[in-house]
Amino acid sequence: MHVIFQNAQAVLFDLDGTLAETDIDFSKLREATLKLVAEYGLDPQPLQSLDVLGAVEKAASELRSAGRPEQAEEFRRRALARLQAMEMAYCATPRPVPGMTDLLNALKATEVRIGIITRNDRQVSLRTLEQLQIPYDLLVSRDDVQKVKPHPEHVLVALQEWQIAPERCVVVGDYWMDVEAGRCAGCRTVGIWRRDVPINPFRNHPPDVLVRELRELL
Amino acid sequence: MTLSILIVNWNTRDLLRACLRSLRCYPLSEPMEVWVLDNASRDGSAEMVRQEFAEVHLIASESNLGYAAGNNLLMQKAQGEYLLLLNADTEVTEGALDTAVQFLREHPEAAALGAKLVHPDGRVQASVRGFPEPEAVMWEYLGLARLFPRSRRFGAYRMTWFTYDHIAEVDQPMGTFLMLSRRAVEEVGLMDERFPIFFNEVDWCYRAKKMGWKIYFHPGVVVIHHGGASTRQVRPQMIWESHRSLQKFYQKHYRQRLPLPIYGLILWSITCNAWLRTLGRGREGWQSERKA
Repeated sequence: MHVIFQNAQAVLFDLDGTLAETDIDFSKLREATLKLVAEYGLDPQPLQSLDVLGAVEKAASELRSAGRPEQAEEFRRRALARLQAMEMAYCATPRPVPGMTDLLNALKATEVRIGIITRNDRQVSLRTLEQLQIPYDLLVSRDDVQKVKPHPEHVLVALQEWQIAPERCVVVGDYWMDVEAGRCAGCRTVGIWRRDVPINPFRNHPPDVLVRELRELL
Repeated sequence: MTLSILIVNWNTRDLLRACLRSLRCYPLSEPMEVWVLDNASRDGSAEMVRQEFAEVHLIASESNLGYAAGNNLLMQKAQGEYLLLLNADTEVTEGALDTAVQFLREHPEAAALGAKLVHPDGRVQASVRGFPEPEAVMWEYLGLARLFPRSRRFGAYRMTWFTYDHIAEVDQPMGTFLMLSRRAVEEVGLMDERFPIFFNEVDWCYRAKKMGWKIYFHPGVVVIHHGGASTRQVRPQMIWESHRSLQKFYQKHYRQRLPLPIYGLILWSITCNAWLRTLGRGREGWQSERKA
């Protein structure tokens, strides 16, 4: 087992891209969200470079600032419902990331708790976990927090639930937001720079350990 | 909304990222908002904020508005009960924001609170000063402040005698981290934009104290300050700008109070000092090392 897991009581994994391969097309999610933004009379242009959930929250915030709080809530509800439907479709046939089963089994053998922290919808995540028979002790989805990754709330919720100190926890993910959330919470972090990703996603947010695949953590 | 954090940025993308990250890691335990005004940076600062900090309210100005006008714009947007003017080259530490807000809440007579600024290696930075009263300016220019740093009289301007280990009422904490109460801002007003980069916070503190408000330094509010990241990019101009701002400060606050010969002597001394600094005979500008 990799030295990063030494003395760890818990390991928190991101789901999509880290443990499970899905067919999520983020550009399509963004396109659908920005289309809805335009329906509410907002300019989608400034939201182009935001991540999808960031765009939803920013647009809702703009509606609230414009004195349209009810429309803000309605927009948020519709946008998240639309995202859930698309995620359901994209995640219909998930595949395990190579090395996932071996790593999780090895961790379970050391009685380390395993948590899943994901910006995905809870129902979509539960289905993915079930389909891939991923062993886990806790799921913290976007429905379980006020602020999603890169905010540390996902991690803090898990630590609070388990009453574990952050320095006894490792956060593993394939995107800088996972590392940022883990580090802000005070945990050790592992970044997985997938071989199919050309540019290092952690260049501005270096993790404690950077690997190219899960097997390197065994 | 308890706290609005206001950051004016110019070409300090990586430091700004670290600053915003620290706010994400060590937020106030009550509702807060973060505003960034990007002064037409060319290093991708605005794009970085958009991509990595969706929770931040970003205003990407197409021209450089300067520090004072930028902060004024943000202060008018802010919703918080307290307003924190924060430089982009800082990182807040755990509990700093809560300590500062709690102190201001318990001291309604306080218009502003300054923090204990430290270098990344933990060394404490000199971050509070007295007002540049004529006598203090003369001691400074005559070199007596350097000769007798522990003297409260000769070190009145730079407060070289101050130990940074206790809560104290002060004249002007560095604008690097300056938390203002909204009540004070409503009474004192916004920053005077005739001081675009330097002395705007000095002027604000001066006006506040004249109105009876108090200004404090709190050693429990610890903030890492990388220092001078923006002004270092155009240092000679900044030396002149800082001296010009000191002259404007005198024109605004001392012209009516000082005998004309003394007033003229002070302005002449400031000009001479600016020349000396620019020619490299001195190592520090009046405030050029204080701003980012």
